[in-house]
Amino acid sequence: MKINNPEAIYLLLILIPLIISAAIRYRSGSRQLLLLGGKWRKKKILDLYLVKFFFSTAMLILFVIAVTFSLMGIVWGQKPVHEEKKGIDVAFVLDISRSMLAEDLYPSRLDQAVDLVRTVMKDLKGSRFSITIFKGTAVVAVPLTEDIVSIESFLNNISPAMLSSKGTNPEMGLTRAVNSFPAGIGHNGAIVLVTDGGELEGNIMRSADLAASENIPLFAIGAGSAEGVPIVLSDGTVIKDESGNTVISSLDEASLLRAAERTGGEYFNLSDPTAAVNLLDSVRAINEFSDRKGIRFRNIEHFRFFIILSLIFIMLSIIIRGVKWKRDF
Amino acid sequence: MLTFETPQYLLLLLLLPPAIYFRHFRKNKGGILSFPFKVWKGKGFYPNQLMLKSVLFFLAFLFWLGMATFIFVLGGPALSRHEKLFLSRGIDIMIVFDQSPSMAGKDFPPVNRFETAKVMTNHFIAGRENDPIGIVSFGTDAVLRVPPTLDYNLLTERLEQLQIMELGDGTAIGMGLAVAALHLSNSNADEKIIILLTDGENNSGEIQPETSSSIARKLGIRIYSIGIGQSGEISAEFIDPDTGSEFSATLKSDFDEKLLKKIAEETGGRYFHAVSPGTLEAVFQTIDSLESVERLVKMQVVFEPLHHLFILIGFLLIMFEFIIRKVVFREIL
Repeated sequence: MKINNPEAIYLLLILIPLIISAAIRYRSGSRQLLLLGGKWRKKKILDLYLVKFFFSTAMLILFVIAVTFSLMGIVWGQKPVHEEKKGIDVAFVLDISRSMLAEDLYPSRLDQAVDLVRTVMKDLKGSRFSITIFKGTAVVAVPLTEDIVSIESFLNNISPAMLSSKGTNPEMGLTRAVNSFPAGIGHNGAIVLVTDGGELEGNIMRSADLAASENIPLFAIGAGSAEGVPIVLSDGTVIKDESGNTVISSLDEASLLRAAERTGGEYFNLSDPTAAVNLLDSVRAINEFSDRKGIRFRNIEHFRFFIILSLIFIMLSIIIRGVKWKRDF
Repeated sequence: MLTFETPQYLLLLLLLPPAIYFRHFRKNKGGILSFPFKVWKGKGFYPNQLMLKSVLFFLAFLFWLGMATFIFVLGGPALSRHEKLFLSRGIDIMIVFDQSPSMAGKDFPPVNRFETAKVMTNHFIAGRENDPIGIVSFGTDAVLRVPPTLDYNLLTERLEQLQIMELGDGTAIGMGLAVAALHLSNSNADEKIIILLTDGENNSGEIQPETSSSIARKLGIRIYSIGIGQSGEISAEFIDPDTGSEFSATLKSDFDEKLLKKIAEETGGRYFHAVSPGTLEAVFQTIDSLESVERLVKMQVVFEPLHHLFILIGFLLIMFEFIIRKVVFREIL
């Protein structure tokens, strides 16, 4: 089971004023009922009012909860959808911030990332590839193309100097990459993101939502570790910020994993020697599956169940209010 | 277009009339306390409640509209649109652009040869579908600007950025063709073409145009060569992108018609001479119609689910009715 819009849970906050106002309304309501109904029937009136008020308010609360659940995009199970797509196009999104020069991976994180790109390209002959690089901003450096020569010559020259902006904004990189797939080309798409950053700008989930809506799985590759390491360059110096403190680059694996899972992709760590093999297996699996069967599996979002519940609850609250329970009132 | 994924749920709308009857019209529905405001056998006293009634009616309408919206949600509302899906591979096209200073020749109004060629190339790109297009430009050297891609937005963006004399003041036709051929060599398209736009003679670069064209022929690439402008003296104005200084000169313009003809014919393409913007446009149109392939296209329907929007609308309508009844009308139950 997965939840696509966890932020919808904030809708439950309206239960707080709802419950408080219900308490106030109950007090003033019972006073007014006594004025109308007469004090000599106090117990009968208040018993009935309490029961009806309690249950109709409870139904209303359940209604709000059910609506919230229906908006949360709760997904479980998959169903096959017919789709005439063949082959796979891969958009690489590479973090080229200075911390990618860290040598905790041999020869450096960036070089390992480039090796990964080469491995994937070599294996997926006949596919198209694009390369998007990002720091604080992102550009599509090589558009989706079959021309391996141009990608190869770009990879030979890749360096943090290619973008002058500061920061790490994977959201922009991913959005650019999603938009670099031209419409209607009849190929499956996949995005491979390599980054070492905690997310500093942008919201990676937003771009993951965009990718998910276009049915493009995101494979996120993290470099570095969650604890964070100082970035040592090849000449032995350590990268420091403007005030002279050592820059610690720590990896936010959890959000990368969440973004990947949102799109039906996977997360790997670059330091894992099997990362490239596993990535290739997953990408190839998408390709072969759709080649053979001409179908794709789509997640099923279960909102109907909750909408039916909410309709039942709101009708119950009306029935409780409207139906006579005792003859003598 | 609005479509429903599971329209059978819409039958639930039939339950609304009985529900409305139950809430508003049934006998003993409660909610009314009658007081006798009437003298014996006299005329009654009826307050004018038109305003109140219409507000209540409006509120009830909102509530049931909200309920109906929820039933719509059950039907799975989605926006559907048709999308073209190309099942066949298009032609790979490389446009080889001359950036030498003579392209600033003012015989192609409104600006010069270079700008006109850019505009016409843009028109050509806009008219193609599913054909990967790339751009190579050359001066003294040749450079790949965009590899063959279907990302036409990026393509036109990069085309716009080209400037005269970015790559020196020579004319390396051979190098331009060689770079284009190199980047087409990996393509597995059935048809590959190069469109060469130039107004000068090959006077720089290590590779001769004839050598490049024979490479292209071996790779199965057809070359369409376009000679731009009239021969003779023309005035030219341009800004050197390196220094920013403006040049104004009279150039002797001449292109090697024999060479362009030769490389086109050798590779199975065609040679064109464009003496004016109008003829250049016609040339591009000719190439466009010559290089059309049969396309296998399938229309597929893409759905964009809308249920979240409808749930929110329905929820707001129902809660609005609830709040007004409780806060404004002080309903106690």
